[in-house]
Amino acid sequence: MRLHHIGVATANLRESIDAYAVMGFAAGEVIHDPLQKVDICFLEKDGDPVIELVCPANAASPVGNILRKNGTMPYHTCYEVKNLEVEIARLRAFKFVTAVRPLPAVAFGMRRVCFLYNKAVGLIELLESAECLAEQSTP
Amino acid sequence: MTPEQRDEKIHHTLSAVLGLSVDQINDDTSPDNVTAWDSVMHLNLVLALEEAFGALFTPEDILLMNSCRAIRQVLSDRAL
Repeated sequence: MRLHHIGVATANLRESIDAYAVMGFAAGEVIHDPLQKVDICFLEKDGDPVIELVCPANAASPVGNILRKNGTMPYHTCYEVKNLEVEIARLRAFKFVTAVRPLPAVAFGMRRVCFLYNKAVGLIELLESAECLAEQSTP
Repeated sequence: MTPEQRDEKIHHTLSAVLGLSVDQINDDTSPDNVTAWDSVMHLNLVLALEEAFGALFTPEDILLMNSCRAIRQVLSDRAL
């Protein structure tokens, strides 16, 4: 598994995009994900990890709870994995609990993501590799 | 394990994770009346219950376990 991005919860996408621009990050397009009920924008800067800004799209978004408690802050790290099911099973044996089952994510070309939590790590997102998605699509 | 032993174990787990005395735990104990029981604490509670009962809960279980009564129901449904 390899670090893919750091997720930052924000209540105001535009303000965060502008603030990260001051630190040299360039913003991509804003993507709406109806399944996760969030708006997303990836920020990139040469040599730095990708930042994923995550903004609740409506009151039902779980990211709203995080913002209410902590305000704008990094709240998950995402790791790309070759096989989602194998990695979930491996981590489950080490006291990671599956908070959100695998779901296709618009922001990643419908590659599936899931969220797991471990007391000593916090919240992590697993993103299946593009190769894994291609294998599943092959008849 | 008898139902009484199961309930006692649930109450002790809730008490330890939420920082309440066992006397303060009842069927209605939930995020609605315990400030400390937020979304992160909920996941810590699920992990503690998994350890206490030797269970692996699904994301659907985790959503259902939103009170002491609901936790008992989920465990009961799993014959734990």
